[in-house]
Amino acid sequence: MLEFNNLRVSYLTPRGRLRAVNGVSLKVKQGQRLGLVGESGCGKSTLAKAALGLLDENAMVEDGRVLFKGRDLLSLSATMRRKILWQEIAYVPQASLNVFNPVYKLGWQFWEAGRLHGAEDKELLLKKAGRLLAEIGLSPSHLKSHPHQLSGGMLQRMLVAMAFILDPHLIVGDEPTTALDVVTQRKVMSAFSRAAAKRDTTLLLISHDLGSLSLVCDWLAVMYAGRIVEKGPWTQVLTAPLHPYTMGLMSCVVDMSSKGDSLRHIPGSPPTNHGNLRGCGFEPRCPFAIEFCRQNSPPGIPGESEGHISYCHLAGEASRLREAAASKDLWLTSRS
Amino acid sequence: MADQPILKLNRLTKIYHQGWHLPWLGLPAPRVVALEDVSFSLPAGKILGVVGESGSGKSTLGEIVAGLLRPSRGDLSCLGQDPRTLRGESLRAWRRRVQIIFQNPYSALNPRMSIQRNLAEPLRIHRIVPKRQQERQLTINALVEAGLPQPDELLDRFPNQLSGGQLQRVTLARSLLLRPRLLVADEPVSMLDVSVRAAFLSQLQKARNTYDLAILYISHNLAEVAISADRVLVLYRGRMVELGPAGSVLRTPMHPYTRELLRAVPRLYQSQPGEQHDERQKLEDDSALHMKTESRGCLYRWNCPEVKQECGSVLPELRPVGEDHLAACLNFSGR
Repeated sequence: MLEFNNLRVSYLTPRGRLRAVNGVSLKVKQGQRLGLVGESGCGKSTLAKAALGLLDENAMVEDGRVLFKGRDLLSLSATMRRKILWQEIAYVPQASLNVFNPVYKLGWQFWEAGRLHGAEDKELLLKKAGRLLAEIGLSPSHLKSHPHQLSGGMLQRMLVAMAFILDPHLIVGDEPTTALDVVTQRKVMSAFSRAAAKRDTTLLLISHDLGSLSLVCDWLAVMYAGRIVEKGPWTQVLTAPLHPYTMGLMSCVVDMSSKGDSLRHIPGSPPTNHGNLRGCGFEPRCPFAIEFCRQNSPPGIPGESEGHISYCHLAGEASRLREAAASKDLWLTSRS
Repeated sequence: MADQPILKLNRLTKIYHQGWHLPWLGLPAPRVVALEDVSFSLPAGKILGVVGESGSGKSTLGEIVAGLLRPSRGDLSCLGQDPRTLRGESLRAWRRRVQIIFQNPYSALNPRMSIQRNLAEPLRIHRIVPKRQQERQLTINALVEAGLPQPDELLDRFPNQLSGGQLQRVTLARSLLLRPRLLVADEPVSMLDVSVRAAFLSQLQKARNTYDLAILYISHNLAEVAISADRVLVLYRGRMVELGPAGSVLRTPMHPYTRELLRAVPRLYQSQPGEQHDERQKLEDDSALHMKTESRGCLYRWNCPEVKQECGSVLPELRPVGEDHLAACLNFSGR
């Protein structure tokens, strides 16, 4: 349904060209719920904007294409794009507090979105909105509320409902639960999965939080320094990760099984994507890196189960790496 | 001083007044009760974790303790003094010993000052170092101590050139330079990338051990609090619902709300996608909750899975439910 084909996007900045997305190929199939996880600056938001055809002005597509049902999203005219957005591809942004117009009631804002994208009957649309809200646990009476009368978590669920209002085929959520507390996070995520499961909507959810993605998604893709480093069915990625970065990221997640003495982190900072782009992006922080990694970009190496691919030279030795990654010392003593 | 707690609160209450009060219309003053009757004490060298969802009053608590807000009622004793009674030089001396770290490291430093200037600012305000050479050496030491191994590279850079994780460690270094006795950390890692969060948490532990520092650690994530804190305080809409040693709050959470918070912590492995959240979870409508703030009875009763008849009429008080472990729930009042 959605296909990124060797996409390369750069931003022109005063400090030079910044390669945000560096050759990403990724397919999202009909009905799939794909979670894209990565740290700040790894290019995940750029990828989301590319999927909407809404890249910033200083962004430059150097190579590759983004195909939605066979149409190239990056070369669409503004009119064509408007026809596709919301009706076929809907978007859930992060900052729900700033998204709604504070002076209009929410029902009116549902109608405005619908009206601009092809809906004709206001009564019908509002009825549908009411049903959607009930489905995700909000009272339909909130359509008569102004945005400030609702809490952040409720507004974020409103946005989810709004994304579904025209029955799109694909919904892109860029950090839909960041900035919410954990209780609210769960509510928003479950709103997503309920509504999507009922309509067989395809989801592309982007987050830095592996934990909240694993609530909804059935496929995961891990991104680092502008590249996909691992992708596969969520159970495979989480139970048998092939890439050292995924292993590190998982051991960093603080959950109830963590103890005070087992705090872990990946040494160093996320990359800035300036300068040298040869070799594996994770090499400077990778505890397993060998000289070879510095010079050569890793190819995709399939794992044991279908669809599970890792971009690491050492993917063949993954079980040895997993064993080593379980030890705390590894992440502490490795190079800065 | 040895046995004196660093921080002691007794029935502390904070009420925010909003908008216009129109008494001639017979309307009550519009107000929000952010904290009500919060009492606890925190000794030196201990970390108290404060958990709750947004709107639970946890940040208000932090700001009152750090002297940035004035409580409406109740007693506050911080380092043996009440900041409300301090003025001028004595207030300055008190502030030096009570430091706060905020959630957003990108706005916590002055963007027009180099990292070194940012770090030196509190030293100058508190007139700690007379000579400029000493100043540089002190800031270098502070950065190393906060887990930034190459301070020389960082000192002359500006905040926008550092990553979030680095900036948050700079703000920690800036606080520690003043040798505080109490540190309030308000959601210090929630804006950091997952891969560097643990690094900051272990720096915090280290600082506690080195300086016998008391830390008030505020977060919405119970797991994060549990691994860093000695004791845990759970707030729900301004009221204490549970207080106890981190271990027993985690293993035997007594209040239904604490159990809900525990369930909410994202875990990596759960049965099946889709099934995970279909577990008996009420997607409750939390509309207009704040309107009900001042009604009698337990505040959690609208969301509580174990609600009983009397929850609507009796306000549950904190009662011992285990060793050193308190909870405010009627289900345990019989014990």
